[in-house]
Amino acid sequence: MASKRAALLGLLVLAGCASSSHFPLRPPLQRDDDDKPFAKAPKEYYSPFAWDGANYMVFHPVARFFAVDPAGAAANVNAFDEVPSSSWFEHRLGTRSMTAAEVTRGPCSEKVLDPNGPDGSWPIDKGKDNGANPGFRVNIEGLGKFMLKTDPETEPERATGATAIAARIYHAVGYYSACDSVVYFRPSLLKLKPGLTVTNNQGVTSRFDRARLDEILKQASHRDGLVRMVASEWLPGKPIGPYRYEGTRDDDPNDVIPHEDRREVRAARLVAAWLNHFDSREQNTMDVFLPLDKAQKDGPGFVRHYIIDMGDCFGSQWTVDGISRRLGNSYIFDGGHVAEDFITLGAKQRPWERAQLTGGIFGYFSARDFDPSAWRGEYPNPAFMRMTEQDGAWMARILANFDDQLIAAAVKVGKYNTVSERYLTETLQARRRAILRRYLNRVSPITRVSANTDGVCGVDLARATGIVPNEEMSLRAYSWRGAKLQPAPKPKFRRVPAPQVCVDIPHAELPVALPPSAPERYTVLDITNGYAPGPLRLHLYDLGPAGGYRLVGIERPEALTPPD
Amino acid sequence: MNRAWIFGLALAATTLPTSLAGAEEQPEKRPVPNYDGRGGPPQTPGQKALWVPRILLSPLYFVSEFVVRRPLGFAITAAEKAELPSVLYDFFAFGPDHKAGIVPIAFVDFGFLPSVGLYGFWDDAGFKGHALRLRGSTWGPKWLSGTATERFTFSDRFDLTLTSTATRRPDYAFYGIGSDTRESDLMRYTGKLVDAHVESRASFAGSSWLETAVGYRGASFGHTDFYDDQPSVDDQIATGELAAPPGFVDGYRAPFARARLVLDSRGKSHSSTGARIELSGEEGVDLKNSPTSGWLRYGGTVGGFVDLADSGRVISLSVSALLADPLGDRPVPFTELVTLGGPALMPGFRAGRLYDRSAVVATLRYAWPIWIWLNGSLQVATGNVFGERFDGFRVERGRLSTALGIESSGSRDSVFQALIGFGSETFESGGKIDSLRVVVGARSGF
Repeated sequence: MASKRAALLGLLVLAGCASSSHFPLRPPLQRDDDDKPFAKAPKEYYSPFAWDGANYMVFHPVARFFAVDPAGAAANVNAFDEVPSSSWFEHRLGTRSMTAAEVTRGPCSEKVLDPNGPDGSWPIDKGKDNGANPGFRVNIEGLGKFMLKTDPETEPERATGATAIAARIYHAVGYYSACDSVVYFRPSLLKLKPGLTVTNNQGVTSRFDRARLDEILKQASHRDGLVRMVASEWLPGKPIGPYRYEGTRDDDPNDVIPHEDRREVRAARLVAAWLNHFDSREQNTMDVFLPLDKAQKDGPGFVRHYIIDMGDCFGSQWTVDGISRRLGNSYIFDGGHVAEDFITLGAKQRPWERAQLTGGIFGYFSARDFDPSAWRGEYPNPAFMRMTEQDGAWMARILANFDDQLIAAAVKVGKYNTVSERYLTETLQARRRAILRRYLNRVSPITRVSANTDGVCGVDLARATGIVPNEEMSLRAYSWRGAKLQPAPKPKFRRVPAPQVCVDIPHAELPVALPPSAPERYTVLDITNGYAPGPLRLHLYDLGPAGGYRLVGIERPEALTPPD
Repeated sequence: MNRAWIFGLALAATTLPTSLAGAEEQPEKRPVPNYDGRGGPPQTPGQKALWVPRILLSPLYFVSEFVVRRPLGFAITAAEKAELPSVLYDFFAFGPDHKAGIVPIAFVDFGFLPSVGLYGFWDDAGFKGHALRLRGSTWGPKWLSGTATERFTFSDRFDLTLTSTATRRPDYAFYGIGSDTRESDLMRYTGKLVDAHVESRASFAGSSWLETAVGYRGASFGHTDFYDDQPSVDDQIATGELAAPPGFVDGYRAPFARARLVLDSRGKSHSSTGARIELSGEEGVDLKNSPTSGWLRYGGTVGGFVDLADSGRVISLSVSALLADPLGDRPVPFTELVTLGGPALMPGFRAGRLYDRSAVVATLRYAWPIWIWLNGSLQVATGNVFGERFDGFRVERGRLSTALGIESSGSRDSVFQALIGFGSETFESGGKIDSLRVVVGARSGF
C-alpha cells in the first residue's frame, strides 16, 4: 500500500516537473513538420453515423465526466501563442493581409467548370443520393472531377451558396477546404453514362438514369432558364475517410496530437458559430492521402485534413420547426437544457423561443441573440467542447482580420440576389463583431508583437476593430527580470498612435561576457490594455543596448498575477 | 465471479477492436514536437489536484468507458457497417414511405404490474386519411391487453374512429367506495374488460369540438392471488369484511352512448390563453343483469388558461364536477362510478383509489416546454369523491393531489409520461400525505 502511495506521489511530482516557465532563446516553431512522407496510405476510416450521434450526445459526456479531464491548454501551441502551420491548418489571414480577390478565389485553382462548353461536355460518371442535397459527379477529361449538388427544394439557392461561401471563409481563416463554386448551366451540357446506380443512406441501391437525373434537375434552383448547383472540385489524393474530433489515427505516424487538443480543431468552433455550421461533425470532414508520386496512390505520401460539406450554414432548416429554432442554440437533444428547463420550471426564456424567421432564404440565421460562447452544434463535438479562452481568443485574433470588405467579397461567391446578399453580408459582419466583442475582451488582444532595440511594439486588436474605445490612457506595463523574476523598473510607453502599443524597457547592466541565454538576461513584460482582465505576457532576453531585446515567448493569462 | 466476468468482458471488448484492427503492424509515430520550447506550459496546482477526484472516480470511469461506451461503440459501428440499422428501420417502419411501423413500448406505474408490448401504426393505410393502430401489452399470461383502432379522417374538421379494447389484469386496485377510504384499505382483484365503440369527432370554431360515441362495454371481476401481502376483494367479501362492490359479483355487459362537447376559445393561434368549457354525458344499459337498469354519467369542467407572454408556459385553473346516477333499480357498477386518480383527475392518487357517485375537483396546473416534444407539468388539485349528487360535500373532506412530471406533446396516439405524484388523506383526517404514485412509460392516447 505504502509503495503504491509512493508511486502515486512520484507520478504527481513528475507531472509537476515536466516543464519550465522560462522559454529558451530560440525562434518559435512556425511549421509543424507533420507532412513527412510515410510508406503506406492509411486504410479508409468508416465513420458510423448513428453511433457518432449517440456517443457524443449520451455516452461520451458521461465517460468524460468520470475521467475528470477538463480542457487544459491546447497541445500544439508554439512559444508565440500561435499554432504552427501543418497538414491541418495553413496560416493565411492570421499572419498576412489578404485581398478580396484572394478570398474569393479561395482554395480553387485555375481549373474551373466552363458552363459555356458544348452540349454533352460534362459526362456524369457517378450519382449521389444521400444527404439533403442530391446530385451527381461529372468527370471532364483534362479538368478533373466535380460533384454537383442541388439545393433542398424548400430552401432555393441557400445551400449551394452557403457551401461556396463557407469554403472560402474556412480557407481564408487557414483551414483546408474544397473548391466549391456555384454554377449556372444548361442541362444539355450533361451526358449521362449508362448503367449507373446509386445507394442511399438506408443502403438501398437504385438506378441512376435519365428519370432520376431529370428529377434532380427539377429539384434544383433555376435562374433565367439555367440550373443552379454547387460544383465541388474533387479533393486531391486518395480519400481515407473523415478525421475524428478526438484521438489520433494509429496508421498515420505524423498524427501525434490528440485532435481534441489541437488548437485549430478546437477553435474551429468559433468559425462554425459564426456561420452557424451546426453540422460540424466528423462526417463533414475528410482526410486525404497525398502521394509524393501521383502514379503511386498508396504511397509514400502524407495525410492532409479537410473540412467539407458546409451546405447547412446560414440557416438550414429541418422539417421540424422546433429543431430549426434550436440549431446553433442547443443540441438536438440537449440533456443539460432539458434538465435546466425542467428544474427551473421554464423560468428562463431561451433564444430559440425568441427566434424569428428572417423572411428570406436564411431561415432563423441572424445576429439577434447570437452568443458565440453559448453556440452549440447538432450534438456535442469533443474538440469544440475543449476550446479554452485562449483557443477562442486565438481564433478571434484571426477573425479580426476578416474585415467587412472581405466578408462582402466572400458572400459574393454565393451568387445570391441583391436582397439576400446584403442580408447575409450584414448578418455575418454583425456576428463577427459579436465574436470579437466576446473573445477580444477576456485575454489580451494585443498581437503582431515584435521586439526591437529598446523594447517591444504590438497592435491592440480590440482597439483596431472598435470593440473598445481607441484611446491610449488605460494601458499599463510591469516587468520582472532574472532567473527568479524579480520586479524590475517600470517600463515606459512610447508615444505611438493607437491601436499601436510600444513599450520601452530599460536595459539591465549586465556583464558583456554573459552568454545570450543566461538566466540573468531573462525579462518578462506584462502589458494590460485596461479592458481585458489578463495581460499580454512577453518573455524576452535582454541582449544589451546593442543587441536589443529578443522576443522568445508570448502568453495571454486570464488574470494579472505575477509570473512564476 | 460476477466481477471476474465483467472484467473479462470489458477487457475483451476493449482489446477486440484494436486486436482486430491491429492485425497489421502500425507505423512508428514521430516524436511529439516541443512546440513552445519548454515542453508545454507548467502544470498548475489546480491541474495537479485533479488527480484526487480522478483516482476516486476511476472505477466509474472504467465502467462507463470500457464496459459501456467502447463495447457499445464497437457493436453499433459493426452493425452500421453491416447496414443493420437500415434493416432494423425497414423491419420496424415499413410500407410505402415507411408510413407503417412497429415500436416497442413499456409502461411502469409503481403499485401495479409493469407491462411491455408493441405499438403498431399505419398511416394512410390503403388510402389517404385512413389510419390503423394496434397496441398489445403484457406482463405474463395473466396480464394481457390489446387495442385495435381504425380512424377515418374525412377532413381537418371531422373524423370517425372505431376502437376495440380487451384487457385482463390481475392487479387492479380497490380501496372501497366513498370519500374516507384509506391507503391501508388496498385490495386487489382481477378484471376482464372489453370495450368496442365507434366515435365521431367534429371540430369547429378553432379548438372546440363535439365527440359522440356508441358502443358496448363488458366487465367481469374475480379473485387474484398476485400479491401475497394484499388481500383479494373476493376474499374480503367472503370473510364479511367488505360488502361486495356493486357489479363485482355479476359483472355487466352494457351498450352505451356518450357525447362530449368542448368549447375552447384558444383556437389554433400561437397563444394558449383562453377559456374552456367541457360537458359530457354517457348512458349505459346493463343488458346482462337487468335491461331496465343502467347508469347515467355526466359532468362538466370549466377552466381558464393564461399563456405567460405567449411562450407556451401555461397556468390554468379548472373546476370539475362529475356525477354518476343509477337508471332503474340496480346500483351503478363500481367501475362505472365516478373515479379519481390514475390518468384522470387528481393524478397523485393511483388508478382506482377513489370511487363514489360524484366528485368535485379544482386543479391548478402549470405546464411549460422543456424540449421540442416534451413539456413539464406541475399541478396541485383538491377535491374528493362524494355521495349521491355531492352528498356529504364539505371542503374539509377534500384531499390534496400534487404531481410533477414530464409528458410528450404533439401526438394524439401515444403519450410518454414520467410523473411523480402525492395524494393526501382528507383534510379533516389531518391531510397527511399517504399516497405516492410514480409512472414512467408510454400510454395510449389514440
